[in-house]
Amino acid sequence: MASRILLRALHLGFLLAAAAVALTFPGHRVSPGWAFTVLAVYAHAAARLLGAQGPEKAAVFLEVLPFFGFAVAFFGWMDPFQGLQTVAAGIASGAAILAIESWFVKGSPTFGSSLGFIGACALAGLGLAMVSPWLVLGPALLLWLGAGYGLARGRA
Amino acid sequence: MRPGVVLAALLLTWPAAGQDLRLEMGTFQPYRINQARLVAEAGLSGELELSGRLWDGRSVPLFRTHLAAESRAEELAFYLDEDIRAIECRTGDRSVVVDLAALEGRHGAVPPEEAALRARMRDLDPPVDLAPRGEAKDRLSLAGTDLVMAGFQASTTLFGFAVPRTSLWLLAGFAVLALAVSVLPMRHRRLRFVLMVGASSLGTLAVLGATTPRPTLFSVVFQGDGPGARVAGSLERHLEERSTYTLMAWTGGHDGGSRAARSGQVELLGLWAPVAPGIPLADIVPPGSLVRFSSPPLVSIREGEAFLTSRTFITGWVVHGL
Repeated sequence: MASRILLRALHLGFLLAAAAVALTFPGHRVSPGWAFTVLAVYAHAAARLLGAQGPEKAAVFLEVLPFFGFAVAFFGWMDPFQGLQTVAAGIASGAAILAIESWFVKGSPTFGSSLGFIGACALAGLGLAMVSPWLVLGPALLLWLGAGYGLARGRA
Repeated sequence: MRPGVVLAALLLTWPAAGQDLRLEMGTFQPYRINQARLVAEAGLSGELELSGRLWDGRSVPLFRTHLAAESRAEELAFYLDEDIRAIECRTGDRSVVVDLAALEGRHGAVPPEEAALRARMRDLDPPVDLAPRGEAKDRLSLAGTDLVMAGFQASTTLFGFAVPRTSLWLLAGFAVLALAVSVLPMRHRRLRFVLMVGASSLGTLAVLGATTPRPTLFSVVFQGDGPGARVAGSLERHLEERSTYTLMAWTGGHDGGSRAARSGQVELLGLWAPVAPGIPLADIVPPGSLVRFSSPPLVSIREGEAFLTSRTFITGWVVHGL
């Protein structure tokens, strides 16, 4: 229990330290797509370290979400509405990737499934960097719904 | 202007045939805030947008308003410069296009005085509209620098925003909350997840709000009166919080930061106002001034007052009281 809390504290402390360091680079531009990829891969690694799977892994992603919002607003130079759209597209992409992983990967994640997960995160990040968040949001929501349906059918 | 393009532009119609929309005004003048009147016999209502077509084919929004009640005419205000080849006013499925090059061709040669003003503004290149880096500086000393160079120097060294430290406190608060939720017993798994969704959503919204800088007007007033002038002396910062934006002005120091009555003076602007309402137009470009922006801003009307917004950070020069 104590080691779990310590690992959690380290994971959140690392994110906080990264945000504090980021504050020393005001005005620099980082694409929200890059921020998404880096943070999603970090969340995946943190979830593996914490032994979190399924809803527990989703909770780790939720812990990273405000830091993604910070990166979008601080490095993306967006107005709050644009920032919200980008964060929404990021949430939908993350949820879709997690749902697809849960659907396809039974049991503990393997090296191959991790590689696939990172690839999917990079692809979603590329989408966020290249096109309007609305164009990412729609397909991501569809994938999420599709994977959710597949998961539900698999459980039934 | 390029003769080939002017010739092509002359072939365009104005106003568009078969439309009941009409733009009424005198001459369209670049480097100024232009006023026009849109008239429609069949009435105007709903969204109204005026956009500019640049020489490279891109379209930029110049004016936008929402007409709550139906009217026959609407007053428009918009920025023009020589990069804008034509303007298009659109409401619903109706539109009117005014080809500025063709219009100028019909009016004959530009008077020498106007040509000299335009040449002067052409020489006043606004600094590259990169987002400000670092925190705003309090002062800058200039030693006989060329005006345009002084503008570049001022925009890169002076313009900046306060670092959003509140965001870090919010993130720290969220991290503590997330840690507290994660130590809840496993039998409350569902409650843990719901709490995390709530905390994460609220945390993200709060961080987004706290991290985005407030609309800001950066202003540097130079004593020189043209592109060839050399400027010297020390500029000091004056900060003023206004109702919709923050004004950061750097002036000679002796006038307490007042931006009023600057006849003939040249002012460098930086504008960060991505969302409505924006910054009052009269605060940025006083009547009778010439202005050149790095990218055209959008004018919108709110409660009868004109405001400027721009999706990205832009810079500009204002020559006062000409």
